[in-house]
Amino acid sequence: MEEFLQQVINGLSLGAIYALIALGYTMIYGVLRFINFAHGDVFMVGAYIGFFIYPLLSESLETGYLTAFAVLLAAMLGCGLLGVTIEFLAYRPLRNRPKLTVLITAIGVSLFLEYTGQIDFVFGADYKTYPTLVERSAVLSGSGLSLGSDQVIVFVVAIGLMLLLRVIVMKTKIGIAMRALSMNLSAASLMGINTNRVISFTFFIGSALAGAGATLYAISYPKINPLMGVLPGLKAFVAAVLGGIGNIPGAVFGSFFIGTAETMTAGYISPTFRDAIVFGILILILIFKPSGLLGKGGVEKV
Amino acid sequence: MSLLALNNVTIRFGGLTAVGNLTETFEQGSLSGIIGPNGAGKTTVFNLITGVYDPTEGGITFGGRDIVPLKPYQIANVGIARTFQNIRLFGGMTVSDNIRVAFNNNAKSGLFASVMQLFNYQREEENYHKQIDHLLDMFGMLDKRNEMAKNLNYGDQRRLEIVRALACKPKLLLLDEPAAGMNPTEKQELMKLIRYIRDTFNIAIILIEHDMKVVMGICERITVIDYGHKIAVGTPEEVKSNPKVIEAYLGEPAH
Amino acid sequence: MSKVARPYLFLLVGIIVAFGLSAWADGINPYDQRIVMNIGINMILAASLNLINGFTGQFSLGHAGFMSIGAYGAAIFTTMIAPGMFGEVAGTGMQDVALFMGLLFGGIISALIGVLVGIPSLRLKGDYLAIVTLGFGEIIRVIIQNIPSLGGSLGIANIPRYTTFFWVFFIVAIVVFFIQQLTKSTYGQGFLAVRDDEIAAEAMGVNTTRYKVEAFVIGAFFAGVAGGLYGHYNELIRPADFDFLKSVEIIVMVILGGMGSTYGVLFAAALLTYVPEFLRGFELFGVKFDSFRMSIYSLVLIILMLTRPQGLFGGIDFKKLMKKEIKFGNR
Repeated sequence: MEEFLQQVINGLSLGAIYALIALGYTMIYGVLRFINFAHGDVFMVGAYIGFFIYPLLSESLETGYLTAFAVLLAAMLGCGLLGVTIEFLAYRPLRNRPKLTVLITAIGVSLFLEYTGQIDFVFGADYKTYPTLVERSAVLSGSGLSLGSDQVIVFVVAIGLMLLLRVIVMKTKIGIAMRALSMNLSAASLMGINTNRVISFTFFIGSALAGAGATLYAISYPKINPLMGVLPGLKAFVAAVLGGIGNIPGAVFGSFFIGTAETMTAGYISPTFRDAIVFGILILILIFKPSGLLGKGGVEKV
Repeated sequence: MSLLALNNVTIRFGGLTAVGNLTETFEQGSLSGIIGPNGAGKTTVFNLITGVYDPTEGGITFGGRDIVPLKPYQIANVGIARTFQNIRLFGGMTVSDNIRVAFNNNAKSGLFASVMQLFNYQREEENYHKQIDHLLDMFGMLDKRNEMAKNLNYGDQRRLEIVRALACKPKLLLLDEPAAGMNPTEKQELMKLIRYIRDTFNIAIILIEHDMKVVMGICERITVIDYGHKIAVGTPEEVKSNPKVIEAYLGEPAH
Repeated sequence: MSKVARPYLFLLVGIIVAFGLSAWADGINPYDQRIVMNIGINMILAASLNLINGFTGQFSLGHAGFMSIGAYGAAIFTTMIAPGMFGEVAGTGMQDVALFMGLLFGGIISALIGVLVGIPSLRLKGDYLAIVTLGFGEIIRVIIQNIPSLGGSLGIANIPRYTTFFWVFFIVAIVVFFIQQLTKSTYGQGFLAVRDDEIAAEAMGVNTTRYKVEAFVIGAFFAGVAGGLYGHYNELIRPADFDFLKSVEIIVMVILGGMGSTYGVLFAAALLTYVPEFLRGFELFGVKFDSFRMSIYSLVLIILMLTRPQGLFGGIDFKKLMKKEIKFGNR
């Protein structure tokens, strides 16, 4: 029982990180109806931003937590700008083109980030050790259960950002515009919404969340390399699909589900199957309920 | 026995009843129309007949056979062909290949015969091309046989959709707003064309149409639906003077 | 007569070319040999994926998965099953029989899995289908990795080198013949109809389910055969050889060649196999090209999509082009 609870805790903290990535997928899908394949690689860049900026920040800032917070903000800002740039250069010219063209472009962007990252004078292909932003200590121990300080930080930051996102989407003007776009892009533009600006904003928010996710991920798993975004990216995507892509609460729910399923598989079946289980879930969900657990089904108009 | 019979057909999408308790029959060789205000459920009726949707309740028989359990392609193969409101051609294929798709279902040559392409195959293929050319000739499109469907002008696209449907050798042809986007001269030609098709191919035709001149001009029998329910049926004259129909189109008369 | 004979004549020419290449191959160095061999194998992969993605309009991102199944199937056949049937065959004429049966074995297993992968295509479209096929490809890889008798992530080594130039290009000729004949036939119009408008195809009596699954099965079969050829040339197969990136590589060939254009795709396969090798030795500002060639590769892909998404040869009617040239010549 204790082991089970422990797996749940581990699964949820992993799921919280996936949720930050999955939100980007789902928001971008919501407004543009396309899967931003490069999202996982934006996440990877977020980890490197932290890696490179930490030495600069830790000198000028006094306390560890302030530095950690500054690193988080820097990663979010950097990823946000990267996301906006990608959208502007690669996706915007393809608006109204066939979906597959955009999908292949996104794969191209993803490969570009991965391979450019692997070049020696960029990030290098080898693993780097992410700086220790927060000392890891057991917040809760004994009775067989352990909850690390890193996990607490993951929960606090992730849930805080999700609440912030909810406020932005539900209460602010641009959030309302985002929701309008996700219902009907052309109608929104006819109503005087500057769709390009809203799309850029969506990419900014979504990518910034991935940057936050990357920082949290690197705190928990401090080995980083240019391909580190591939699997978390895919898993977060699966989570978004599971919850019904385009659906924000769905992405969060799906992420916690995937995170838990993954740690359970690793703990009770075999660690080698932790990736396969996620794809297995994806295939089952897409075959039996492609609209996701919380999504609405759409029928093509004849 | 009627060719097509809808028996208490109902379909609901969530809470919305798109078609409710529709009972109607269509006879062999008849030329009928379905009219109704926008959103009345006319195209939904076509989608129910062709199996795109399955009715929530009720039955549909064609030539006495229950066609509800059949898939759309099977329904096409028992003899119901259709056109679409928003033209659905195979854009990347030539005019003649668009029609050739129709022969696909009764082709004796399966996968391997089609790869080997021996003598029997060639004979069959020649036969198809003769039929295609004949059809295109009838509709004055023979010179366009090798053009890409997407490059045709609007009128030709509409016409090709009809030719393509006829190539399926239907007993019943469903035309979904064939006159949409046409000018008065084209509409006149279309009316002639529809009569010509019915007489030459001796098939039943049902059309959905907004243009009253077209519907009233060629249909022998008109069914009026509103909010998914049949509100009137009869000859053009009967329908025209039916107060329920007038109300549905013009709103309730002022008292 | 001529109508029947002409495609067969083309096939015969293809087989003669395969023979010619085979004779010439003995004279060239092993490095060039490998490139030519890879060109042939990639041609089979790209042409078979083109049936799924180009002609039938489905989107498979898991072609490397089929390739791996064929590679493992064929390797198992020649190393474990064939010795029991024929005894020691290496170096004898029987090695070709063993290879042929191994390719068939791998191809058929791959085709069976193709049925499984084709099923989601009945309900899913576009990017969703792409993701599912990607997932399938990854699952196949993870499963193979976890089967100890298949060597886990170390793979199978010491596969006999039975693949010859003749075999590779003979199969290229067969694949091209098969796909060309099929997609030109009346039966084959069903594939194109599914691609252009599924709903209209159904309304015209086309059993879209059957066509989609068939496209996946045929595509998977030939990808499996290509995998078998690869394994029996490389002598070593590992799950990592058939990852997502390999699938992307094949897709890029199809896209560059122009979806639905068999000859364009063959050319793109040759180009994309050769050019990276050709550029391998180059240096730019003292940095080996090799270190950033993949970076450029992906950049080219993006630029291609932005400027010419139909591929280099997509939308070009080669027949018309030839006729035009003849006309000009007569003037």
